[in-house]
Amino acid sequence: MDIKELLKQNATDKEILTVLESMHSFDIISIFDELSEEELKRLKDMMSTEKFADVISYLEPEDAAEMLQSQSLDEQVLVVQNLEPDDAADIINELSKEDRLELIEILDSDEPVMALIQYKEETAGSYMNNDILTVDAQDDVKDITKKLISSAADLKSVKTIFVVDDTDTYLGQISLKTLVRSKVPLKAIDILKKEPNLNVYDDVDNIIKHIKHYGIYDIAITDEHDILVGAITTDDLLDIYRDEALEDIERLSYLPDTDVKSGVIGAALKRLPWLILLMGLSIPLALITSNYEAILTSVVILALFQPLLLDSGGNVAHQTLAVTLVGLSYKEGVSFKDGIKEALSGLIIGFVLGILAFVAAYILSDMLGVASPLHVSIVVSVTMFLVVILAPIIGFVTPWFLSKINLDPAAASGPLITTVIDIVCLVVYFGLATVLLGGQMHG
Amino acid sequence: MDNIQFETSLVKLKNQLIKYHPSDIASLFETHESMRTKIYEALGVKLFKNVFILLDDHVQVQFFDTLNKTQQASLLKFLDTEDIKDFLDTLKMSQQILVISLLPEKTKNEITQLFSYEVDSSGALSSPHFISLSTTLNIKQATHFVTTQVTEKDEIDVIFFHDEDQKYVGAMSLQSLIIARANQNIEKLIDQKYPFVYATDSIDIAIQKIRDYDIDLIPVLNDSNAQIGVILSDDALTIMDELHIETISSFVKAQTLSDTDSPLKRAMNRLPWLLVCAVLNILIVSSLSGFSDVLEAHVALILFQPMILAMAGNIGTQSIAVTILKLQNQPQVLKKDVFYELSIGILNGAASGLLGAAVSYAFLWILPGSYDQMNLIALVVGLSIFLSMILSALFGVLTPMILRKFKLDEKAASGPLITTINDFFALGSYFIIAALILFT
Repeated sequence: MDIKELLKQNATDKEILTVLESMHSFDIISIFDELSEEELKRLKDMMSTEKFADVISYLEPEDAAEMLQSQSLDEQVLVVQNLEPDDAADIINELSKEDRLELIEILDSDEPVMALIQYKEETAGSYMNNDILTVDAQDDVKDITKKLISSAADLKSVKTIFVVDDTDTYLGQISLKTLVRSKVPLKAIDILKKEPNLNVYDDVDNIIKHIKHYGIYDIAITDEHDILVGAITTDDLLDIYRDEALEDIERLSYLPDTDVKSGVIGAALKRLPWLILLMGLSIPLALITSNYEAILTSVVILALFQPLLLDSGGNVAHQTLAVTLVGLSYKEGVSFKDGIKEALSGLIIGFVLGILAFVAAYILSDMLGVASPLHVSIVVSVTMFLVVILAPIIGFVTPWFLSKINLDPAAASGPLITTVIDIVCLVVYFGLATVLLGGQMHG
Repeated sequence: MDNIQFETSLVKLKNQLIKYHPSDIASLFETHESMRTKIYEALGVKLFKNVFILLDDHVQVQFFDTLNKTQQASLLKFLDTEDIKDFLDTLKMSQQILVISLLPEKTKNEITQLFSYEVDSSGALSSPHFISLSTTLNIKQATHFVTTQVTEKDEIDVIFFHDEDQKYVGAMSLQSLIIARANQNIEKLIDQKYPFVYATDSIDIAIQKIRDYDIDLIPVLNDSNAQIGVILSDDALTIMDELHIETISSFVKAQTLSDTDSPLKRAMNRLPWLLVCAVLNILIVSSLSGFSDVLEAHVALILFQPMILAMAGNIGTQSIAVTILKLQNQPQVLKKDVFYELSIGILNGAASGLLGAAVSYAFLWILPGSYDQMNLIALVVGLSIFLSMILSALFGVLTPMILRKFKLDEKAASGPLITTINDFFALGSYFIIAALILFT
């Protein structure tokens, strides 16, 4: 029986609770959308604090903050204590300023979440968890197992045990798997494995590069003195990767954050700024074209080939852009050699497309009875050739340069590249036309 | 990493290498072609297998060929079954048979089993290295089994359970097994709502569950509910990464993105789409060339042609991307999704149309030359932007939907076909509206 029907049929709290307990929290939040406000409130009130905390940890932090805010302050504290510190920190950071201060005020200062809310968004510190199991290098297998059993109830995950020395410096980690198969008198120092770790200030791009290179495991997070301060666990890593991948695609396709649900008008408003910006970027094109009106008036057919040239340049540049962006997301980055390869491939593509453009332009202008079809087709094909050669170079240099000066290459490259290519294309096109066809202007 | 000394004894090289992560050694192995054999010999096969699975496909094949039969067999012995399958996937049929003949009998059977599932199904990508215990065991027996009987290859972070008929029952984390008290009833500790997938389910479903339910491994069941394998979150990451790169490449009409391809190969790879785009573009132009009188009479129209094409293209890109992302999470686009995108198209089309009209009027007014019928041209530009943006937004959601309906890859929608359709309708509406308004 599903929750929705139970609610409709006025089932008792006990009946509903039994069903709730048997459901995974992720499945519970997926029905939230379909419930009325009263129904939602009823569910909220009947859930135990532990269940409520688990459920809201699966929501987007903004939505979770809204749910949390509807509770009394004392309840909020209990919920926060039941949340994993990294989730709690995300949610607290989404609360309105007054609510946040109020809650922080009454939270215990040694509550693990307090150490986490200081970190900036999208840094390792903001993703990490700090209630991890740490043992001393000299502890033997028996000590470790004892520690594990006594703290397992308080910690969400102990599948990795972190090993530190007496100054809390990170030495390595022991997987639970290794631990259960080790025997005394082995000590932590004998069975630990030193895995690459990250710094608490590393940003999300570094985290992504790290997991793409080293794979996914519980990553130790240290401060600038190599002191272990927390860890990012595998389940969070997958979410981080997914969010970043989604963001890449959104930026490439001029979209706002699509994870947040909104109504038609809200969504339209959020997508509009990009569209307006892009419209603004097309004004220089009109300006350039207006300078060549004389030649356009006498050879109107030139206007018909304009979309072909602009599209081809844009397409080729975006192909290079995608290759380069994917390359930049790896630890190795991109090298100058890749740029050369892209430029050479542009040369080949430019040659082929140039020939095609020549033939098409000749046939079409002949059909339309243009005075000098040969000249028109030379102008079209030479422009095509030059633009397609130039496109990969611009498509490579732009993201490469942006990443060098620490700007996000995915966000800015697209429009920047399109604009540059379009401008170059029109100047070459109409410039060539004026030189080659200018003679007939007044004829 | 750069300061590794190769000109030294194998023991000393090994001591230098083991300080590094296998991923780093793999990069080193790929870039130092002449040192490959030496690295392999220094590490020994047991450590080398961790590096081998991280190498690029072609380096794997290339290096494997340089080993003799005994070396090959011993390397294969140390590899996990699913890694052997990955490796086999990169080989040609004739070589596959050769490699399979080197495998121990047990692995051979496991491999045959994996190959029996459809490509990209959860079964084909699963690993047979998992622990499944009977629910009749008690805590002590279970713990004993886990601490003594498992091999290094087995995944034991989560332990699975089956009943007397070998049917899957549920799962328990190693953590809960360790902290359980000896007298606790094991069946009470088993999580029966632990998510699972069927072998025939697409791998995307498995990945989505791993992500949504925050789990490290997901069990894979056959159609009689017996467990045949597990999928690890590490594999989920690899597959998500592949899907992501595929999506990005499809957005820009580049086929595959590999940094090792030569310029000629890159060019050949991309030319087909570019040619299709160019040819379609030429066809559009030819079909619209009848409107050249309109353009001749009002050259100002040419000025705003790129703007109209760009605006239609941009909103089309947005609506396709939203739809493709949506289709990664749900089986089909719903009617309400179509209306949602269409309404956004109307709203943003109207906003952009108004702005476009204002911009074009202001533009013509500022320019030194004198233009006839400035207000009419601005009207044409505004209306065309409005109309073509609505059409583009609509095609952006309909094309992936139709492709999905015919079981084609919806990502192809972002290819040249839709761009061309958008161009056609954008230019078409521009010229027709111009002819109607300016010639009456």
